[in-house]
Amino acid sequence: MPTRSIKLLLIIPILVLFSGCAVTHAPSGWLSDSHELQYEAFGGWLQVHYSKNDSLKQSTMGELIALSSDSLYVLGRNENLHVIAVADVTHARLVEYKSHHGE
Amino acid sequence: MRRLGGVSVIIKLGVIAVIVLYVSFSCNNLKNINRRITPADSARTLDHDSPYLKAHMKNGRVYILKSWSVDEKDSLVNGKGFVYGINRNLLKEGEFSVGLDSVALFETNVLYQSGSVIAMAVITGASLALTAGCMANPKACFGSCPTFYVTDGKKTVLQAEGFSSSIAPSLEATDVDALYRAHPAGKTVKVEMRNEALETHMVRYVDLLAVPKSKNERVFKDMDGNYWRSNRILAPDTCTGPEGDILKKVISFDSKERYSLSDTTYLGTKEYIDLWFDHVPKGKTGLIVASRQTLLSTYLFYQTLAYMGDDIGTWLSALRFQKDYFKNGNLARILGKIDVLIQDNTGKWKKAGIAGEQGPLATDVFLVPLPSETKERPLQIRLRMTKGDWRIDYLALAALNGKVKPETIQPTVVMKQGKPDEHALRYLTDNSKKLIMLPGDDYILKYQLPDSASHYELFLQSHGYYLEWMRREWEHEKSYQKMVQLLFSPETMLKDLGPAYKKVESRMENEFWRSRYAHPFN
Repeated sequence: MPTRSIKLLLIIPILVLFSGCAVTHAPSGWLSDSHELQYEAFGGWLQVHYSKNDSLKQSTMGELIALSSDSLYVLGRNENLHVIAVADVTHARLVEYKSHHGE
Repeated sequence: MRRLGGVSVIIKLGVIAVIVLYVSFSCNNLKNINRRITPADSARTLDHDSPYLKAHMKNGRVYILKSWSVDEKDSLVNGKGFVYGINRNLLKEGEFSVGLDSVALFETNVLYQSGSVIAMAVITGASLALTAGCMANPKACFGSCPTFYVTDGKKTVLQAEGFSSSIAPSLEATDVDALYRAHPAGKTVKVEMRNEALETHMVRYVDLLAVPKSKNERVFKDMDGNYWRSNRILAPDTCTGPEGDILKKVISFDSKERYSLSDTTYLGTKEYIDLWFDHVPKGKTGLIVASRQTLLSTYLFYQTLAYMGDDIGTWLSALRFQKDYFKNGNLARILGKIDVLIQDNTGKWKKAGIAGEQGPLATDVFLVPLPSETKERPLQIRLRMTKGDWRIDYLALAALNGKVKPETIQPTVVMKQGKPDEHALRYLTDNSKKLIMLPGDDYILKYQLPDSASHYELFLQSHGYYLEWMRREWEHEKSYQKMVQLLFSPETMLKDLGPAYKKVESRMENEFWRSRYAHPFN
């Protein structure tokens, strides 16, 4: 593999980490700030990517409702509850509250 | 289904708690949250610092109570607040008594201002104008972690600098420094700990390591954390560097250091020092190396911060995931430490060990045990190091009398501004807490030895990390491209930065020490 490609492979995880800090896909006004989190009753905003049998890659997002040993429960924007097998999850990102970072 | 109760909720909230910490920390949130999940049968251990108590019920409801209390006798939780249904619709507001047997788990959340967040809040606000001495040379500002002062028997002198390479929370580490020149009288050892730079220090503990020794013995530590006793120390008979005879500079521990200037064309160029010992004692021996760094590494560190610019918080957050790379990555590997080489039977130079610690402030002393099969007489030892990166004060050969274990001693008194500081003492003796030191902070730590200090070799074991304040004057150098180049192609950067460093190198040491902290809030 060319050196340049190896370097790119090393750089990309860092870029992903950095972009991960700034971006949230939660609907505007949905996330609480850290003070409100102390007394509100809702779950965090979850974006989850999964694929069954390495075939079709899918993703969904919504409120994290629960996580059991084998299933992940996400309430989508359309109020549909998605139940995803933990074994199918490739990666997920949970944002629990609004940090106000950079504001 | 809107809400689940029982074990799944416990798992869910546990996962959330971990990720909340990640999100809040990595994005430098203004407040961190300490979330605790407590099973119903452990209600007596609930965190009463939490202003609200959430009781997640087995039936999916949740109570959110303010002014709450636990009635252990009747197995109830009482409080005023709200109860929400399984769809989180408000069912009722008022005063409630909730039976513990119907609760799946409790959740408490305590907001706190973390030490690192305090640092991040100020890290980009500092100006070089605060430290007049470094205005002329922005990369020569005094810095590098907590400094420790101990008497040498006549006056208080700088003896150690703590955890110099721990430049971010993820790099929090333990550092052991030899208090080789410390000569306190009696059983009490006083160590003055200062923050003299525009940095925030998070100090988890500072302990004294005391190794019993006889009158004619000295004790040395090696890079692997072993402590070796020696009652015979021999000076080299000959010592040469590229510039010629340097024996006078390394024969005694007297602050007369041997150092060189860097290579303009490539800051990673290596140089060699050769030393000979005509008379080598039988048995196990080791080379004593007393050294500190020049300001080359400090310059490169500040240059790295300048490339980070106002994204420094993001970069430091990324350190959490790439810490091995940052710690042992290309740049650290190229610059290296002081390699100690000896010749094998075929005359080929072989690495016996390494010495040296990061940091340009205090000279530290290390022992590099030599292989037992070293039988050549006279014994020739070669040191290999990056040119212009090290100041060597003392080199000697020690006959080793075996390993010994130190005794760890915590401070018994901590003083600030002449008065006992119980808060600081508590924080320095409880490993779950960290003492935060801002520029200008100065503590006296007192330790009680079982016997007179003259019966011990003393070392200082400090643990923590520090955050350099980002100077406003550096920000115009922000360059994502150069930062990536520094990380992944440091050889190129070490070539490119050579001429710029050369312009300031000869005066850096002087300007660095003159720019020691001036209070930023005056």
